[in-house]
Amino acid sequence: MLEKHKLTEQFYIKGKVDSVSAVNTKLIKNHILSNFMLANRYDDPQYWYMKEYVKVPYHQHIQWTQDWLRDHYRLEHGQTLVPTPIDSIRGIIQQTGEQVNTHHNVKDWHLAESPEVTCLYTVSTGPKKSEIVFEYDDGRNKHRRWSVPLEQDQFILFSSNTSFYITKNENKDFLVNLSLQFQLI
Amino acid sequence: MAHFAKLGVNGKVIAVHGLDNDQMLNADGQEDESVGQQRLQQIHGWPAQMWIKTSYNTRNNTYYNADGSEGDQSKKLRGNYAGIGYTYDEDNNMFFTKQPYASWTKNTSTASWDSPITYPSVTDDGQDPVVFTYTISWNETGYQADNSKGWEATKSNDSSDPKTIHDWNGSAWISR
Repeated sequence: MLEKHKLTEQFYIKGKVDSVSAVNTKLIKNHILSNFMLANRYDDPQYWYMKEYVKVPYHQHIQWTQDWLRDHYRLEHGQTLVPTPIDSIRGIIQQTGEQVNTHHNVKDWHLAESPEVTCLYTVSTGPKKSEIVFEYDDGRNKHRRWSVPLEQDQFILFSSNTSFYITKNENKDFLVNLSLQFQLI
Repeated sequence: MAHFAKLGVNGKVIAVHGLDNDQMLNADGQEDESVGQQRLQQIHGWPAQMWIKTSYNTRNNTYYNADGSEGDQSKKLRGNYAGIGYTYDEDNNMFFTKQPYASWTKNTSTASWDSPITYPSVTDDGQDPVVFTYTISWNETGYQADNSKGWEATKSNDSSDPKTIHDWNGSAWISR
């Protein structure tokens, strides 16, 4: 008998919120952009990468997105996604020519408020697709990369400790992503 | 407090939410499921027809009082109190647990699943005091290979390794 036990895993899950849901990504996009115009960028000297994110306050359609993810993740995987105590809702805006540099979302000196699962929800993209590129080690296969194109209205859930970057926005319009941070219970 | 099951697009229950009874009163002051569904759509952005009222006190198509005794059966609703992963059977207007095995069929009288072979009537050695009980389980693979078999058991006092398996033949346990 060979009993295999998985000690850890890094994953990503991609999908779309059901069309019957009232979630409207245009409203979410406008909400994120309006906060971007207010220069609501994070600024945390301990975690440089927070500058990649825009503060986004509550919005009903973001709440409905969180609800959808929570309900369906729980049904499929038996654990509940709960928003992190702080900074659980963020925006990522890439202007033309901008990229998001490599980072992960676990704050090494603030583990209690760090996420376990991150969601990247693409609420506005142009015809030229950017990609999220995950960087990970797999045993002795070091420095591996896996890229996933960012599609309109598609979400990607992934392990928050996985480093990633987002390639350059080559469109005239902004690339707008909603970033949601969750813990698991 | 009323409870509503939130259905996913495949008919599976993805959540159960509570709603104050005064949130589901119609113009005549009567509780109306459709009013509750509309209210939940407003709150959660999920279509009204995908919220189905469920009864906390109903299970196996029987209504129970808070103390566990059987209550007024006119109050039973939709077979079972819905849970995450249950399926809403629109034709029978009932919630069912997940089908345990492919060969088991719905019983709409009890809002549960029936095995193709009746559960064994012998569950212990019949002595007083009981010396051993049978640890009984369903073997779907065995049933698919031979439709006369399905229930199998081991004796609780069997210290052999592996334990001797017994098959139920409809009236007695037969050692394999």
